[in-house]
Amino acid sequence: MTLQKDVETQESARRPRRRLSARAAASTGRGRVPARLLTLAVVAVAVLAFGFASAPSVRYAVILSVIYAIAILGNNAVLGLLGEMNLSGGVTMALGAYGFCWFSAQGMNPALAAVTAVLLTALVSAVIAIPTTRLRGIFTALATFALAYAIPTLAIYLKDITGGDEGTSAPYDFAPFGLELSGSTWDMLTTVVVIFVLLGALSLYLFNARPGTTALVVGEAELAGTTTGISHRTVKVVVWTWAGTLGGIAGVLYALAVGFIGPTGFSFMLGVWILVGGVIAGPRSVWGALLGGLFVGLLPVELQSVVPPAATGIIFGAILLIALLAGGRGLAEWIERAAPKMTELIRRRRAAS
Amino acid sequence: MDLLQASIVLGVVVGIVYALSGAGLVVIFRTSGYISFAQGDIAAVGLFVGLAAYKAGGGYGLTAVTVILVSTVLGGLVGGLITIPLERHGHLPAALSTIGVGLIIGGILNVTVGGDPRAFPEVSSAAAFDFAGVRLGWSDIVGMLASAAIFIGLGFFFRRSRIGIAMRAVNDNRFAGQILGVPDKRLKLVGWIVAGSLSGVLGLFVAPILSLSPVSVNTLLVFGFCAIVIGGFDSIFGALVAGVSIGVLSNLTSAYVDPNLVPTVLWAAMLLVLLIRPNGLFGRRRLVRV
Repeated sequence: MTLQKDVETQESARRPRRRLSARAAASTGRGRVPARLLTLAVVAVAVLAFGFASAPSVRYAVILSVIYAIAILGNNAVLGLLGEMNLSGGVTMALGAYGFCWFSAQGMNPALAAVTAVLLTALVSAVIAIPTTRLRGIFTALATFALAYAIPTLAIYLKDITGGDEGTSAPYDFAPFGLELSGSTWDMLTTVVVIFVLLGALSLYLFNARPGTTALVVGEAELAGTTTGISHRTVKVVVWTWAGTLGGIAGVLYALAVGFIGPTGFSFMLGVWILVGGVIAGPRSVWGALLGGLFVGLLPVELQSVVPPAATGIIFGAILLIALLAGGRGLAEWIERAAPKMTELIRRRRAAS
Repeated sequence: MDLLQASIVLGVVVGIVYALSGAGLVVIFRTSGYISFAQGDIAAVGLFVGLAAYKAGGGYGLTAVTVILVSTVLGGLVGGLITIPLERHGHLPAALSTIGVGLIIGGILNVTVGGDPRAFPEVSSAAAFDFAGVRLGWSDIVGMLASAAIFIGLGFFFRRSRIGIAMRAVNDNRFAGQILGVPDKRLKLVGWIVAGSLSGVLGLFVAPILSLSPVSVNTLLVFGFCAIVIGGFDSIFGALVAGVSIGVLSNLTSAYVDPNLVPTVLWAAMLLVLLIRPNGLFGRRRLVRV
């Protein structure tokens, strides 16, 4: 047994790490980590610059977009790696937000309250994930849909904690390191973008390391994973917990940005938007999550000057259908596929002339 | 009137409607292998057209026929033109496309008729008879009878009729079906058409209770989702039993605890069933050949 193990480790150590082909890198979203980090940084700087240059109302929408992007980034792990539909992105945001407000209302230091709220969300997500991941494929959507639907009324029922219909307020004077974290301040924008970039880099690292491989195997070929000794149930619970944790972080930031939270903010449509944002922008791309957040948070604001607010659903539905018709892998991957072809084309033109 | 008896009897009555909403979803699931999120919106379109027919002077019969006809046609169009073609990218994009369709239809309804709830006519507002101290209206009775008839019909359709068996075969083993010459695309379309008309029927029972707005039928789909998860995805009988249980459970919760807790209790019941029986109470266990 030990001998066999030795042989195995030797072999896996000897095997050279192959570079992924352009096509494999584009379709799996793996490999090319430096390039991807650079793209993430460039897009983040662009979002920051846009936010700084805009009027406060638009900057506020950008801040919310980045917060949604954090939730989308988490949800994308479930959608892109496991191929499962999770509509409870809004639920974890609600947990994080309400937890943060409640803990700080109990006299806890806001920073500690934020950490506790995120940990609580992670714990609750893990507990909920255990039965939910027993469902296969898209049927997780039904369980999470029912949960997402229950949250606003549950928040009204638990009015001692959540403030019921009237809602509850986030701590006003939370200023870690002298940053003014509320509403549409520049500090708020910088903080959410930095947090997104850090989480994006972390998920990029995890995706290209062992955890990403394991999750991808479970999502793409569960049976193959099981036969090679991967406990698919554990992997699924871990991925769902990761999604929940990011949702919790997004929830805390949401409470800070909005300042006052109530049950109407966490309708089941929030979970739908988080899912749809991921699908439109690309479930396996980190900077795609940021793009998805902008779709969800900024596009409705920008559209208001063109179409009535009631009609934004039509535009979103149409964009979603187009994204699905294009293969359901999202705008980010599409750009990633097109970019090398474009550079190739340009190079050939230059060579010809 | 005794609160307990009322909760139970009325729970059974609405439970059958919940089961009906689950059955529409099972029909699509049986043939295609995924769930449609657009059924509520499809029914809403039918209901608004039907309401227009009613206001133009058509009787209830004409209204009902219009509602069912429009939702049948719309169900077929959504399935045939959008969702079934998207299956080539997999089940997940197909299921997601129904969310997209739902958003589009909801947006169109919001723009054209607006989001305000309206009253919708019912079969009859007269009381029929008292059962165990609870007064049942004729519309309740008609709703129950029609649902029961639909359930028996669907059960026979899937077990006995050639098309029904072929529809099950398409989902069970598509390649074997194709080799035997089963027209899978066309059968899936049949599934969508049947599901469309079922959602129209469902809308007819729901709209008078919840009043008609672009999202009112959608509310009921949540109960339908719970019914099919608890009952087992591929079992129509399971949807019936689970629907009635959900109806009673939610009425008891709302009478004795708090109406705001109903969705949470439903969700908890669903998770509990999943923990004990992952395939639902009446679902078949999926066997995988290694």
